[in-house]
Amino acid sequence: MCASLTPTSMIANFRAFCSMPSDRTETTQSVRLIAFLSNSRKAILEWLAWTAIAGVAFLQIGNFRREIADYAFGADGWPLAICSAIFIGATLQLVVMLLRNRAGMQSQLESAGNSRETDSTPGWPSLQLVAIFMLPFIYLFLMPRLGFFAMTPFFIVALLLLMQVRSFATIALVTLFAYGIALLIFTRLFYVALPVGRIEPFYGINNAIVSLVRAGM
Amino acid sequence: MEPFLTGTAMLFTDPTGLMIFVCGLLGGMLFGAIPGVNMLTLGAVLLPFTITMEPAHAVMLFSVIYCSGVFGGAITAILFNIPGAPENAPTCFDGYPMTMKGQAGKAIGAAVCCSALGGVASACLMMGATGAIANWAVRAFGPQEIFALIFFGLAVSASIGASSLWKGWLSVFAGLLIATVGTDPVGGIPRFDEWNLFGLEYRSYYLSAGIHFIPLILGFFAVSEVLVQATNISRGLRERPKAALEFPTFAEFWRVRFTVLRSICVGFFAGILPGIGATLAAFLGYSQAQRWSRNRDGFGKGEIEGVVASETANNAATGAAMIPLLALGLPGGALTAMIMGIFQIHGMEPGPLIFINSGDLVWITFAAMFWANLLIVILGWIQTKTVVHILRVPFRWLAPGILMLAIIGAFALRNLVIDVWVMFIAGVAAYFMRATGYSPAGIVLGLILGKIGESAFSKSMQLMHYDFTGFLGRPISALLLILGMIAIVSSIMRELRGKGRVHAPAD
Repeated sequence: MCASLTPTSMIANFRAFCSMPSDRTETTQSVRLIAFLSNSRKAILEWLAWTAIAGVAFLQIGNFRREIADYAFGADGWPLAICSAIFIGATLQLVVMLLRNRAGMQSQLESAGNSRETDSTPGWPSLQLVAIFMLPFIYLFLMPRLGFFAMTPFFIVALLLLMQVRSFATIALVTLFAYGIALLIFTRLFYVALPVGRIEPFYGINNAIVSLVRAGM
Repeated sequence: MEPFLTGTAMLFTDPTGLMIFVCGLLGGMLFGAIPGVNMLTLGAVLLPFTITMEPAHAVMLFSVIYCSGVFGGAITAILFNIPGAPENAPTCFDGYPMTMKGQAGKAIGAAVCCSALGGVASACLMMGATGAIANWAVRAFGPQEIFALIFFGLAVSASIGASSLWKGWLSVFAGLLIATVGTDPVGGIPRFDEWNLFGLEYRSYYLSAGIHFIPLILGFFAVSEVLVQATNISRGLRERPKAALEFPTFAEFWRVRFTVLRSICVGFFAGILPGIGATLAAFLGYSQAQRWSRNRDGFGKGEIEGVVASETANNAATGAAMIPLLALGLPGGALTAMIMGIFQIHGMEPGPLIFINSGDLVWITFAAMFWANLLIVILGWIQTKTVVHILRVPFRWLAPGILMLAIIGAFALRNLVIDVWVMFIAGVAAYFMRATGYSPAGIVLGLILGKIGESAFSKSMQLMHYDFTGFLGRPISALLLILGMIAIVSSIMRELRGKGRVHAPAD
């Protein structure tokens, strides 16, 4: 039962139990406890994330803590104030969420927020989803080395496959269209100097594509 | 009235001028509507060609691009949740939910008409009172007032797009923190370019220059939207929105008449102030519309008033931004700085004398901006009937094109691959932020206003000899700070009573 529970469903279950005549007081108590712990964990995790961001930034402020002539707050005054504001804001958020949670009066706001969360992140992500998130970073790692012009068609095809496009004709047409328009507008018309790579033979291939696109100009 | 008619006659009887006017109008709309590029890209590309143009044609071209470009960004904001420029970010909040509800035509129609209304009203005010308004704004608005206005703007707009007040403020703080990366505005000392963590050291010259907001916007909106939709597709949750062509009715426009008027005032006021411009105008317009609306709870779920408010306000800022430029030679943003560059290229000096020395140029520009805003209605109506059909194309076919444009847009900014890394990292971060109710738009707001805010604060402190009560000694800054404080306290009270915002931008 616990494996399929989400904060929203737990609260809904809890409310449903509450409306029943009660020979189920113990179960109600346990559902209430599960909901409380789940929401508290989320609140604490968010607080930890914000505190870590503010803390890391705070530690780095020492690298530029220098005096500026005619300005008493120095270069570090403003970032320091913002780090403090983040810490205070995150702590206030934690306190409010815990208090609300404890009182068992989760507002509409939380249920709306939670339903959105459960819609978008239930359980473990699939391999396909992980691949969608990883693909841009792999492309970015390879692009400066192998060149934009050689890598991009593969990137488009991979993205289409990951988005469950299976028709060969569609993949070919979309790739040709997106790649062609990008080349025409940015390489031929606007002369954007996109990366041509630094590893042979890709360097040569990229330059050949650029020459082809700009032919006749 | 006579100079305006003369300017109009000169515009429409000169074939070259007319051609430039039409090209600027279409180019601004097109570049505004393509994710990854914007009116600034077009301006940067065209700037070198203005050397060979007549000064009046060149200034007119950039003014028209400014008007149509601000509107153009609304199209992608409404259809794909990807704003063409920061000033269109609040349009996403209700425009995209309207698209998901099958009301894309209505949303674009409202954006078209209200952009035109805001722009025309602003152009009329600009023509009527440039000199007087510019003098007042410059005398009355020092660094203290600019800081107080930014504080007020953040106070009333911080929680927009977030699922709670705290999450809204934390998003804005994150934006403010990102804005501190780069050199500090007083001493020029690089910040966060050296990292020393757990014995690991890292130094980046890229970070010395600061993190540019364009890759972040592309990441927060374009990349995260592709990731969200890809996730939905992989889980079989994605529903293709209906491509409805329905235009808003007169009754619907009449219902939001006060929102339009309020947004014109807010947008015009924010537009006059150097550096503030259309972005804060759009956020302020949206937050004020929400505050005064009878249907407050509908905001963020596809309320036409939200689209009306942000689009009226951001276009109302365009005419206002020309006032300090023409009357005092003070550019308020990137595109007006390019117009300043055109003046300098042609050996001219904007300022009070420009109305005497180059009256033709000024009135052709005014007339062109007026007609450009008016023509947005016609072109926008055509767009409503055509562009909406893009929704018939499956998103999985559009996604590679959107990512391609975003990648090139981020890279072309400074020819740096690291900008593209920043964009993708921001995209993944925004995906998780959206899932947990934080607001990417809040980060953008903090990022854009952070640098101006810090600069204004440091100047104020130096001017006031570090006496914080000095802010209260100046009527406008005191008023803005007090209003900002009231807004913060009342929103905290509402939140604690459990009546806080219940929406976030549609995912």
